[in-house]
Amino acid sequence: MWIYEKKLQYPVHIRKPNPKLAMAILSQIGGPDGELGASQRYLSQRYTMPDPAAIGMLTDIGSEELGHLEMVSAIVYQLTRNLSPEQIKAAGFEPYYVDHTTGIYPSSAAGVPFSAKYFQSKGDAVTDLYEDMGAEQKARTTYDNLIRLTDDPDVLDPLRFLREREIVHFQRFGETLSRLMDTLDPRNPYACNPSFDRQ
Amino acid sequence: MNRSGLLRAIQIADFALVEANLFLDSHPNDENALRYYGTYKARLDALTEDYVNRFGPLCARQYAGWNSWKWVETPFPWAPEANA
Repeated sequence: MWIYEKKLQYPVHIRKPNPKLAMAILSQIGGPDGELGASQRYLSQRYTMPDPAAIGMLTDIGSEELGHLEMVSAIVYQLTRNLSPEQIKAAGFEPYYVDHTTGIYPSSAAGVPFSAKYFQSKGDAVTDLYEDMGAEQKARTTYDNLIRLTDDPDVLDPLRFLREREIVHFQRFGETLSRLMDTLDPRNPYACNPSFDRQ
Repeated sequence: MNRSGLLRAIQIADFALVEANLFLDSHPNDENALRYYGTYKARLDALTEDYVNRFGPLCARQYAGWNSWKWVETPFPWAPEANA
């Protein structure tokens, strides 16, 4: 069950429209390493985790990613407000505009719609946690790339916050994996799937 | 505090709780973290009560007996004016 709170986790206040930058930032909504994929990955994986600490971590980080999805959507929304046809054409924003106007639609910067192919829920606690650590690094690199593309401080501020969260999530998943590995046979940790095999 | 100052204080206190929450998920017996969580939870609750009474709900289930449905009468958080 989810509760929605009418506040952004971190403020987004962008004064200068920039539809070209918005197209790039769109990847953190619907791209391969974006916040939608992250939230669905963690919220899907949590059901078969054997360790309640892992269930908690995946539930809580998965929920936080929905809040990040909202923040990135707010960034794209504010970057594409009050656009004239001239601004749309000058920015090369026509391909997105013709199909979505300035609506928020989950696709990548290149226009590929979001897909569940971007994440896995393998039903093996060790495998899933390694996937999650990789996912956080991919998301961090994506924010690194976006941060290089602008010097607008209004945009950089929330991007830097979101990038930092990826680093913290990576740390937390690492600790969760470590706790899990401690419960497995150190001489043969892959002897069974802790999410599936009966102990 | 005015609305935006109070919202900012809420965002800060809530973020402290997000951090403590994630840490506690993998360190459930850490006394320092539990104390930290308790401190910021008390602060968040006080700030939230003040905000809701003066400016309207942050969650649809917060209600202070208003005579109109403030949930749809106050800005949603992606609006620039909600972040000023």
